[in-house]
Amino acid sequence: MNLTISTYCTIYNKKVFLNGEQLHEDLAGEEDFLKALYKKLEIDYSKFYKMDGISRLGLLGVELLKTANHGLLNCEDDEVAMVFQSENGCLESDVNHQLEVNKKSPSPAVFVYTLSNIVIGEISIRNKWYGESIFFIDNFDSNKNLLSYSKSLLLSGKAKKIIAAKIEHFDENVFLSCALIDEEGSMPLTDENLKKVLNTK
Amino acid sequence: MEELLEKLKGEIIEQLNLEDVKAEDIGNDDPLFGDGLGLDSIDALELIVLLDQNYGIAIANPEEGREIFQSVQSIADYIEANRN
Repeated sequence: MNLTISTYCTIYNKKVFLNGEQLHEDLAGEEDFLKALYKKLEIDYSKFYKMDGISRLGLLGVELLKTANHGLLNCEDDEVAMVFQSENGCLESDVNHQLEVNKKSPSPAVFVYTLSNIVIGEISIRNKWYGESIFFIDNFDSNKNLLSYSKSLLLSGKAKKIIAAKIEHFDENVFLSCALIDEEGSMPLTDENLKKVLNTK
Repeated sequence: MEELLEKLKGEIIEQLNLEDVKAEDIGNDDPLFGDGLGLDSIDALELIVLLDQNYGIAIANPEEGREIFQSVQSIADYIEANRN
């Protein structure tokens, strides 16, 4: 099996890169960058506005991957797996919920995002993907879990495509890098290449 | 009553983050769930919080929610009947 990185995307510091090319540079001055990007991509999914930051970020990253890789749109619902990694996970929603708890009636809409893998759930619901998924809490520099789990899913036939992502949305730390791993790209799936597309800020 | 209806629409839009919806888009008798505004179960919980925080009305029996939250009009009727 010839595993490759076929598409990759980074959202960081109000910049968007898709397969290394910067897109939507006109949005750099937007105060709410993710909302501006959502509108720019002309996504019609009003639930976006109810999501926490990490879910908004993850959803937009996958939407960008879909614009560059139409194969993602034609997958069976159990063929796409998601392997995500973060240092902070849902810490932002945890903090917001703690603040709400101090009030009389904490918001249920905040509470439901106090699980790190909810971002994967939101992407699954949006795309009707019901394949394998896992969310690692790990150091940013480490790709060991992402790589070994992605390979395992593909080699065992449990998925045909993997969306591997590193994602952070806590205070000023807003970062997403994601890569589509399958057999259809030209960049071999190696430690070095994965580091190049996922660890570069 | 008309004033309460308009106030409620604004509060619902804000509390539920309905950014694509304007107050004038919501008819007084439009269903809030299903084919209407398309609210979900978490939104229902948020509406319970809204009534508690903004009007001091606690819904003791969740079964009542189905009737109370049918429309903006039904919520306004419930507030009128229950606020001190």
